[in-house]
Amino acid sequence: MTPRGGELILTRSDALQRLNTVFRDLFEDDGIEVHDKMTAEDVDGWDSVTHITLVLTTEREFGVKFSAAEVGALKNVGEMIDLILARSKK
Amino acid sequence: MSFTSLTFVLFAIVAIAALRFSPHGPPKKFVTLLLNAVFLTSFLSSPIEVIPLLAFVSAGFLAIRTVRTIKIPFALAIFIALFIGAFAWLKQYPLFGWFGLATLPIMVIGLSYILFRILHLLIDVAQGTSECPPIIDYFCYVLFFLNLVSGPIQRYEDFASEMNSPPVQSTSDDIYLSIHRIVLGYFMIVVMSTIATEFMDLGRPMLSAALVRGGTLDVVRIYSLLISVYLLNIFANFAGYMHVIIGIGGLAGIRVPENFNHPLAAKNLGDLWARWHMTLSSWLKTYLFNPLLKTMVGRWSSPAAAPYLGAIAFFVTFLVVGFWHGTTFQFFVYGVVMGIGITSHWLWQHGLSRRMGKKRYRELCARPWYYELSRAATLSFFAVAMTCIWISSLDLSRLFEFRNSVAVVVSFAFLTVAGAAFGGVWDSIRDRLVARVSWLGQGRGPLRLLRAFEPWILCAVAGALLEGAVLEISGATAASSITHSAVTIGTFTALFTAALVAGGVFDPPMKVLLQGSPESPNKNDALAVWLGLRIFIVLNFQILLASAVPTFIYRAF
Repeated sequence: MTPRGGELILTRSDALQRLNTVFRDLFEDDGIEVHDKMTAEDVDGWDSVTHITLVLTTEREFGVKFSAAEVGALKNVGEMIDLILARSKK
Repeated sequence: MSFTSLTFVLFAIVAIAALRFSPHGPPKKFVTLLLNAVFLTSFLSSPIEVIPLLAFVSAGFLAIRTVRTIKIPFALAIFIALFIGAFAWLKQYPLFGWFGLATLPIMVIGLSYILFRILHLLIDVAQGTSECPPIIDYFCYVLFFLNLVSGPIQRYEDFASEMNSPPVQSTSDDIYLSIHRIVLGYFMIVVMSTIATEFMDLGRPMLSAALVRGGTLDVVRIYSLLISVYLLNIFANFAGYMHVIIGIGGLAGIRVPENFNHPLAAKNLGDLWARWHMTLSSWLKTYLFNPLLKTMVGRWSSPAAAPYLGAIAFFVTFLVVGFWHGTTFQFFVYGVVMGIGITSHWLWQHGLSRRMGKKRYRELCARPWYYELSRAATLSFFAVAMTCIWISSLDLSRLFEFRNSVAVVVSFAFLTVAGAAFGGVWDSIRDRLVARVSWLGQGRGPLRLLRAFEPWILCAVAGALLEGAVLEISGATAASSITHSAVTIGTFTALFTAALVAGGVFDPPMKVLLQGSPESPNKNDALAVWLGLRIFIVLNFQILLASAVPTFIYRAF
């Protein structure tokens, strides 16, 4: 978190770091290093069901809420971070 | 108007010209609206019939317009429930039958697709992902004539960008590809699907008879043949329709989304749904499966329970697929069977990849024997499940008798093994043919010509051998003279080759051959002549098959 004008602004690297923890906890693998291009193909156990658990955990971690269309359109970790940043600015 | 009628062909030509030459933005939307109206009107025998449909669509607009501002708690949920209720009522689901309307003439063509388009907009607008579209755009989108009858369910933002941006300049290759898809689509509908439909009509009474008093092997023989033919029939019909409308869209400068991605190559049931009717699968995933699972996982947050909640979500989704496809009890059974299949597949996949690790599981899936077996089992299961769609309710109940259920299981096993063997052989032949086509461009003069025709000759010989074998097995050749057999085999070979030409099987080598060097001035003329030949063949097939499929096609079987 970086203080700016009295508010806490979430930076991209902060988000990436916190998302990394979410991934490691959820997929029970401390070797995971998330990056923008990462997709379900790269992670053991990331399928259409754990995807939803992941979305839910991420929403709770960052205090945001994604719409159905946004969840449906997610392609990789980078897009997820874009969404988190866009949502937490509001 | 029917997609195979001359009226539609004329309408499509006018539509292509009108859309291609109208500037993007308001003029294009106006033209689209007009075309939608003409297309919709062609299905009416009296103007009153369209009122329920128009009321439904208009109510959709009002709901989307007000869903974010209206002061009702759970407005979105209430609106969704109201629209599903109105849909079920208009479609006369048995549950709603006694509410009347059954005797009134109403026209609800494309209502299932319209419902999903409205719900997509309603949910997105309510959740703040998109804005309510302008009314003209809304009517252009929901009733778009190319997507009206059987989809696809395009997303609104994609449709809107087609309306609002100038069309991409088409190259001669694009135009060739669009016309190729239209010809291929018509070939699939008017030739393949027509023959398969006739075949189904002939086979259904035979199945009924066998179910009542035939032996198990009789049922297996007729049943496995019928379900395979039906799978090909529905594929040829639906994928053919998609080829036609994507081709028309391409010529008109409007992109229509793909709905099929080689479904007959599906690795498993999950993969099948990522390849078959893709826009429906993606809609269901976005607006049913994901939110349902999210709600359940959010409520019972134990991670260990997630896979089982996933299984429930899969089952519910496919139950809805069944209900969405039709109103009768058969479609409910279809949904249950598909639900059981997809849930079993999910538990199997989840269990194996957990036990073996994703990497080793993926390696297993990539092994040829596993792929062929899994693909054949997937397609056979799909074919068995679709029995519910074409069988009469009486025969469906007969299938549940013990003896006949055994026959269904044996048919499934037989088709899986036979399909895997056939798939293995076919894949290796195809790989070799593809390898040949790629070195085709390197030859010169007569040698090049010979090479270009090599696949033709191979296919013609294969067709003749196949036909000879069939005639021999069926005993048709025994009583006739050698000349007669030769003429029959020759006719079949010619028909078989003509069908392959019309179906576009030889397009890749012909393109290489006809295009010559890139700067050759006549390449487009030669390609146009080639396409013309294919259209001519499809037309002739249509005329040949229009009244009834000649019985000689079946006599051999």
